[in-house]
Amino acid sequence: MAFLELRDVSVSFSGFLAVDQVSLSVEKGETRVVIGPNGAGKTTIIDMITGKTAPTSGKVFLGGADITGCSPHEIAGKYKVGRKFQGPNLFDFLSVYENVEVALAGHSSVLKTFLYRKNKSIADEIKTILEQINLYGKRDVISTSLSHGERQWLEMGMVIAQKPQLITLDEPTAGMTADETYKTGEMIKTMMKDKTVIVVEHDIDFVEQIAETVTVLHQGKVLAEGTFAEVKRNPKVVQVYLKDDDEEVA
Amino acid sequence: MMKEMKNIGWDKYIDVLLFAFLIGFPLVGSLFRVEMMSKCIVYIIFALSLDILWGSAGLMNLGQAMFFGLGGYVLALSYAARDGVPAFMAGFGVTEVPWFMQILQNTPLAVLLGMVVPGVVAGLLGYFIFTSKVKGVFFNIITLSLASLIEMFFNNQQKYTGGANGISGLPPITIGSEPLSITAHYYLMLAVGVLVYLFCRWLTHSRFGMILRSVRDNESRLQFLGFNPAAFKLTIFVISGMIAGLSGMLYIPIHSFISPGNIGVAFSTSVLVWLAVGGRGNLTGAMVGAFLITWMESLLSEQFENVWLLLLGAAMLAVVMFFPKGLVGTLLDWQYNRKIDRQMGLVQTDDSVELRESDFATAKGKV
Amino acid sequence: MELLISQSINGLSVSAMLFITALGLVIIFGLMDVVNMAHGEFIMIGAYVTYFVTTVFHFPFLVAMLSAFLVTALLGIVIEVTLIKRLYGKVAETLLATFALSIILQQLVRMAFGPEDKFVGLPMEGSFSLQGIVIPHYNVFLIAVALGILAATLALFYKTGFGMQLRAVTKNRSMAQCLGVNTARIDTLTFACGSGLAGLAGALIAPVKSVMPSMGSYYIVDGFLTVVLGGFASIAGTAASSVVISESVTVMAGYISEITAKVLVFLIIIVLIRFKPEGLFTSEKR
Repeated sequence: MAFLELRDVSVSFSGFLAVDQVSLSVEKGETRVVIGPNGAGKTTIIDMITGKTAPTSGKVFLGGADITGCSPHEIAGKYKVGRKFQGPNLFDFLSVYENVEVALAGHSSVLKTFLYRKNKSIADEIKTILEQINLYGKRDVISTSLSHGERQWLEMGMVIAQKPQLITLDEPTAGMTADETYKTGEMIKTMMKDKTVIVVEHDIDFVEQIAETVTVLHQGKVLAEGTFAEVKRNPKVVQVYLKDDDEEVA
Repeated sequence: MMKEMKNIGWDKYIDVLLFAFLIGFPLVGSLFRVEMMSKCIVYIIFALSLDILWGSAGLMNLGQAMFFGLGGYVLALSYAARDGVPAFMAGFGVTEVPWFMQILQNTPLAVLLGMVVPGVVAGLLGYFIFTSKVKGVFFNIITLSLASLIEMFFNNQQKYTGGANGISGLPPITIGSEPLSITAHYYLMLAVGVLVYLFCRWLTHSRFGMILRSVRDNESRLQFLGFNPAAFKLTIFVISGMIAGLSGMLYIPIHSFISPGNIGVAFSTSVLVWLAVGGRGNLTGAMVGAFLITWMESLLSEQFENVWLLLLGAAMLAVVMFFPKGLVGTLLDWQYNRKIDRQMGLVQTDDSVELRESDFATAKGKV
Repeated sequence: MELLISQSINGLSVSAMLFITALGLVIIFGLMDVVNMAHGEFIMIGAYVTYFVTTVFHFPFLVAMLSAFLVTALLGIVIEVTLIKRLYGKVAETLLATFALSIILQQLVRMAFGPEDKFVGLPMEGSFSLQGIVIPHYNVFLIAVALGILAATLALFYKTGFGMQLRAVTKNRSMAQCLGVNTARIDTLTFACGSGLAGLAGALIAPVKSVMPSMGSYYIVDGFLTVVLGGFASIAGTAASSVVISESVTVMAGYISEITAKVLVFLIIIVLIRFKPEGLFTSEKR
């Protein structure tokens, strides 16, 4: 079994089949990018992996364990899955430093929060992460005061702080400039080098920059899978993207 | 030094001032006023119990008085049963002390139970509410309903609770057989008050407190970081209930009397008003609100009871509409916004900050 | 057995009163997402209007019902425009503001008319006797009125333009605005509707329960619990849960004290909601 495995997973919302018998296998340490037109079911797949939505049928396995239908905090805490949301989703009224501090792995049970003391090793841990995301200089700034791109990076830093074994990134470059996008790609490649990462994305250049394997979704089903070059040449994928353009023109 | 002092929230200054005033008060106040101030301190503790729940975790308990009253009644029943069957029960033909009061005849145990009973009620109630996927406003409705029902229940069960007349003739605190003097009693209340304040301060400044506020601000984000929000809400609810129960017990020696009015909706409304007017989430607002309003009430309400209530309602309305964070909250807000402005380089401070191009790219954060 | 039957039948009239109370709440709360803590006071005002119209000025009861509806609806408009609109979206503030309002209204009435009970006579005396079971005429009247209101409300919501606009606003406010719906006016009218219904409930309650400044607080608790059990936004659900709750309490009250019955029902509701948070009667999850 692969490290992350979805087996014939389907989700239906009041009759609407958002995801239709999708099977996905991601190996440990792989960086998988999931692309597809809007409404293809990409975020829903992430929702099912992270526990926000339970599949109506099929199973999800992580590291051999069945995590189908588990609650989000169980998947995030016990199974160590980190999730970055589409718009930056942070604690608006905490500082950069505090945002990362909240996210630190290993201090999330009620008891642990009472016993927590910030010692040197914790301070070092936070400092390392802040430096990786280029925000150490702004560590006392309240997060609402940051620029959009910086907020995206902060959220990535929070995900890293969780020390996850699986990371899901939902459109991490949304709203970024070309320069910021490139920096983000490099960040992902360095910070998440040894981790298993699933990225949902739209920006084709970015996909090319980071992808090892690409999965294309369309209308809730897997359309194609392979390296970036393979997928780009795949006639079905071309047709789906071009066909959408045609419909708009007509 | 000045820069650091500027960064300390003004709430700490107000706290220090308040406690200094309270410590020195017996030196200037008459014994009558000192006794009134003792009652005020009990209310301050009660207000703190709601603040850690509402101000930190965002859980607006519309029936906080039920925990106050439960604690008070536990102690009252304990005192009443000390010498056998109490008078109000004997009047109904009860000849033996009922089972649930036999445990209470042991006073230290009763004091413990006065905190444990509200804690258990909070625990059970919280378990059902917080683990459910129901809307947030449900918490408000259920706490209001439960307080109302408990009040009606205590009113109704005259045989066991003294009914609408409550339980009276309760003794003051004694050392040996000597009751404490008014001043000594005052300082005892103040000591407990300071301890509760310090505990709440530690709680809200700990990581636990930070997570509570994050539950209030962005619960879903917290879930995906591995935290179980229901566990945190449940914990603070129980702690809040226990402190409220404690304040209910402290109420007994001063008033010698407890009635269903202390356990129901009206009293719950009072503490909500104190926090709405004073501000919540910073402990100071709760203390200031409780202090100011209970003092004004004791000064005005004897002569002008109806007008007083009307004024209170109007004042609360005005505060909610124009100063939604309460008096202290608005003050702290002002200080906080200045801090944000400084961070973005928009305010000239003594150590001039240069304006940076990138700072203007962001919308100014408004709390 | 006779006790059971007579309690069940009379429980229906209690259901009728509860339904009308809760209907106003479900409209405001369920559809507008506004918590009106002063709803109980609107009921109280409706009862006082009825007192003045019938006992003081000796007009017929139906006039009182109409007046109660109109007076509270008007009051609702004033409050919505001055208060609720400014706090739209802020749940805590709305709750507190309406809480303050309930204090103010109670005090004004208490200061103006005194704290004692006011007497409102039954508009119809006498009762039916069905196989030995006594059913007061007024109870039947209550049930008839409740059914009438249910039908009228459903018709309003599903058969009129206003109802359609209201449902559109509930489901997707910004879209409705884009389509030219005057959402501000819909809000005001909806709030007025809900308040008017509270006044009407007060009018109907006045002959059978004590009319005093603090009467509102009992009904608001019952009303909210009914709305919660029935699913927050379902009219039919509210009707069904009014019946379930009132019947349970009334039947049990034949054997144990009423307050104990209420506590039991409350506890059952809490446990039920834990497992079915969308209420007993809605199929749609919000």
